[in-house]
Amino acid sequence: MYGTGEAAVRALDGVSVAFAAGQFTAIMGPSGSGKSTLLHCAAGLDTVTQGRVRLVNRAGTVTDLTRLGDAALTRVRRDRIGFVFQSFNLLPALTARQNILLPLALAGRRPDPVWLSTIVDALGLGDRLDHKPAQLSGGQQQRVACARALLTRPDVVVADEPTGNLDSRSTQDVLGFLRRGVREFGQTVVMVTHDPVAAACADRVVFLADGRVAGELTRPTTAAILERLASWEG
Amino acid sequence: MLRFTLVGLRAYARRYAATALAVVLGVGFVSATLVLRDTQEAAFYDGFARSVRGVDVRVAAAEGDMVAAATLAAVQELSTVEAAAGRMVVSLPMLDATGRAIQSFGRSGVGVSVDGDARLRPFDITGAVPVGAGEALLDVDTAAARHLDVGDHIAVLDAAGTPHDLRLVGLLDAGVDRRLAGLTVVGLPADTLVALTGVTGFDEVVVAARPGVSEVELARAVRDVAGDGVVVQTGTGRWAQLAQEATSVAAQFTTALLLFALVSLVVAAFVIHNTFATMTVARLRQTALLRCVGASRRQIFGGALVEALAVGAVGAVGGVLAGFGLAQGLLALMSGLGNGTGSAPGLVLGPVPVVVGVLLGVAVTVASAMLPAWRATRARPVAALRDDAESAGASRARRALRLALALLVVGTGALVTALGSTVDDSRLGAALVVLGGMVLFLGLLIGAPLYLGRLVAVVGALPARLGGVPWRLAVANARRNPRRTAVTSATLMIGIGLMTVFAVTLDGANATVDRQLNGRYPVDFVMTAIVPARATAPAGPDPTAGIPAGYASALRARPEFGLVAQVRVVDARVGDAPSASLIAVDPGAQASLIEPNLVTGGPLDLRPGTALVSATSPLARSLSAGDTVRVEVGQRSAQLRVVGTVRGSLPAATEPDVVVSWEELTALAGDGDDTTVLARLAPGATAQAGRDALTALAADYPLVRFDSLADLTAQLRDQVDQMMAIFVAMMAIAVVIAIAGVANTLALSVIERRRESATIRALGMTRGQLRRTLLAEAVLMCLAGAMVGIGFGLVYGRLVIVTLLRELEPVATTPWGWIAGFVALAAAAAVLAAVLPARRAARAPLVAQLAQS
Repeated sequence: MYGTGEAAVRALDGVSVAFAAGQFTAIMGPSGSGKSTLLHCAAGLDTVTQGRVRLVNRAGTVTDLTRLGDAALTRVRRDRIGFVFQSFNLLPALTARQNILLPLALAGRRPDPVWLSTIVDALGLGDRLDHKPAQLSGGQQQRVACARALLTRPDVVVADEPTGNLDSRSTQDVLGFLRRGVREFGQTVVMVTHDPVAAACADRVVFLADGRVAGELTRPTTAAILERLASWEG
Repeated sequence: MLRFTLVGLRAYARRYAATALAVVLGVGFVSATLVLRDTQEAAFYDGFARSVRGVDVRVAAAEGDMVAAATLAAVQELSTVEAAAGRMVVSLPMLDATGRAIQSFGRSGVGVSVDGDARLRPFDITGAVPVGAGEALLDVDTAAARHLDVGDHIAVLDAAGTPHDLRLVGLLDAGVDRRLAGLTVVGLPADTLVALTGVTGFDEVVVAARPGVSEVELARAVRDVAGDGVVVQTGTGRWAQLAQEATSVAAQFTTALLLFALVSLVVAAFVIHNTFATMTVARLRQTALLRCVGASRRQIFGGALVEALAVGAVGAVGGVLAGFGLAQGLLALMSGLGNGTGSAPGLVLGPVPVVVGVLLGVAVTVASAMLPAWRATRARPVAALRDDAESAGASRARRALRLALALLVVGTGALVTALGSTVDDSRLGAALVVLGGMVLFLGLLIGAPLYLGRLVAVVGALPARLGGVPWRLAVANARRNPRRTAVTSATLMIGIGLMTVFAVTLDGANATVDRQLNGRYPVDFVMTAIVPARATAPAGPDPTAGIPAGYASALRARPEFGLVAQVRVVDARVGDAPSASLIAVDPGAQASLIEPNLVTGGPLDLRPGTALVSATSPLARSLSAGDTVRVEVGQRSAQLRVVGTVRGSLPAATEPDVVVSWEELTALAGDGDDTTVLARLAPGATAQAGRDALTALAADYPLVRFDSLADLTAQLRDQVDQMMAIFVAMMAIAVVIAIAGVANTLALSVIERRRESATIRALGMTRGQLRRTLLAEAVLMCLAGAMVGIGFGLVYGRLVIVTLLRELEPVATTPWGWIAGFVALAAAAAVLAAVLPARRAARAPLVAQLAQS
């Protein structure tokens, strides 16, 4: 709930969603449907007025994010959640490598060199590691962001319109990489998107409209998604 | 996190330029002041070091007296004495090429004995020691100033007023001696001095001990033979005494400078705060991203602190170095003006200025960055994703709190000021007014974000109507972020406010004294005696400084002068007061100079047996018409009846306490010289004729100095202008820092509003208009700040003058010239500050900025 009194806006109204582990879930909906808000709440970036957000790690321990104080929440974000945003993902003053290692550096930990090189190779960033974001293309920047998100082997990767600003080639690269993460490394990915093609890469699509869940599709195809969207247009 | 901060610092180094500059200037001022103090101290040390060189025991007379020659003889007899010498320092005026006595601030020169034991000489001699008749030494400063050297001739005046010719056989260098600063010093054998001046006895007798004899032993022995009426000190004791004097004198000099330096630092603190605050906002997205990715609040705060530390450290080190350079420059300036530094040692670079400078610079920077750093931690991670609209300024509650606090502080300041203006003691009152002013100004600063926005709108109303879009935009921009506008304008407020206070105060002082001089006693010429310099300056009027009575008679004989008045001032015991000044005017002129309408408490009735009390004297509080008071001068005394209080003062006479008739004074003090002679031109006589007549008389009376009232007023005005120029120069540093601050704010806001500017340009605003918008913003901020400062200065400068000079019927003026200058300065500062940011803003490529959404 945002605002007060007459200006009150219910961004999410009675939404109850579960994102399964090891799955690639996409959240779709028209603008104003509250999909970004849902993502932010789930990732511990925004506070909920009512309700709970629970994060389950690989061992099965449940953490209630809504109960955590700021410091603890920060640690959760650092160690257990990975972020990829539409833009402004990277700190312009740091090189690609420094950006990738940022969460670990904040925690004061060293990276596992094997895992690091695996990711870098998978993303095809080997020769770009010492460049600054200004010297990278949009697609390359997003790939660096993905690398950062995956490096800590988080419980969930949260992506907010990651391909929104990319051309079709880069979009395929990034989506492919996220899928590989899910398939090969058992990563859980939750992605917000308005692009049906992107949503089609997911294992499950959750539709939101006007702050409420409006349906879902499992193992979607682009056509099925488009059909569902069209049915609301009319 | 640390590495990230350092990387960020290096990447954005240029953004810190203005901040670093502010720190450099502020710290530079402080360290320059401290270096100067150390140098002054060292110079004094060096100076008096010569006077205690090789001295184990020193014998001096009680205040104002001399050590008898017999004492020297007795001391020399002692077995424990290796060497003993008597040092004479007597008044010995030296004449210049035209035959007039050379004087410095009304004091004539001295003669010193040079034939004592060479080991105990308090000065260095180049050349030969004078032995024969007519041989003399001269001090290096005077020799340099008058282009004299060994072999040249000089003339000195003996006690009877007869000139004597002397040939220079060498030069003497006494180093930095406060007593001798600026005076001519002629070195002669002791008997010649005695013959010329008639003064026997020594200023001090110094003794060196035989090897193996300690100072204390020798001191005891000397005390036994020295008799009463003298003070015997060990060399170490004397050194300690002089050292303390030197330190306190140096400290006085630097205290004023330090105060100004601290003001500069305060202004710098504002600039630093502003920079960090703006950067926090500009980097909100990045900070939010960091928080997303897992940086804790403490890490963010720590990062900001490291930033501040780094900038502060660099600025502080630069500032210390700049301070050294500044001190060197100032020293060169001072010795160029002939401030009697003689052969003093060069700049002293001790550890204190460095340590204090660095610590202060870092501390100020970190402290100023604290609040913005804390605010940075409040960045909500979600702001990284959304395009958070700029916070519309502080919340209602916070503004109410600020208003309450500001009112409270302003109210307190006003109260203290009111208290100060009602208090009796003018000095205490003035101090209270100043204190109240500082508190009130603080309140103005606290409340600035609340009223500056509106003030900017008012100032900008007319230009906005005439100038079009740039000005309208400028007004809107300046009002958008009231806190930032306030902090930026505050820097100029402080600088210009202070300058205005000084301008009003000094101008008012000038006008008041002007009126005193010119208003009541229209005389054209004032004659005073050139005071013979003494080893110790006497307190109160000097009884030996006089104009021979013959002078006034000679003046009266001349047709150029209509009224000639003689004024005598003597020191007297009045009632319980041990030292008061008694003044009388000769009978012929009394009626003209002491007008009846200035007397309260009874008709003017000044004859033997009566007295008037001056309204400005502290005695006026205890004596009033009808009282009887006992007045003692030397051995004579009289009981006088007070018949009234008189206002005003006489030109060039010290503040009188009691006015008596001429006959009464002569009865009490005996015949003597006049202190001042006043002369008014006869009707029809020109000023030049009067001046010529006085110059002609000067041949017979070389120790009398004459000034026309116009001269005196002009001299005073010069001094005041000089002081004003010095204050303004010192405040100029604060203004420079303020300029840096304004430039900084503009530059940072340009970066912040990149997208907006791009949009506006896309919509059709030209580059020139964009530049003008920035310029307009700068001008509005600076003018608003200057106006508040000037307003404050006008009010408070007035209050200070009225309170401090209460008894002198103060004239409070408005120095429009200076004020216009300050407004121009503010505008110029604005233009200067806006140049670079405006250029950069206009040059930025349009599309790249728009695309960054």
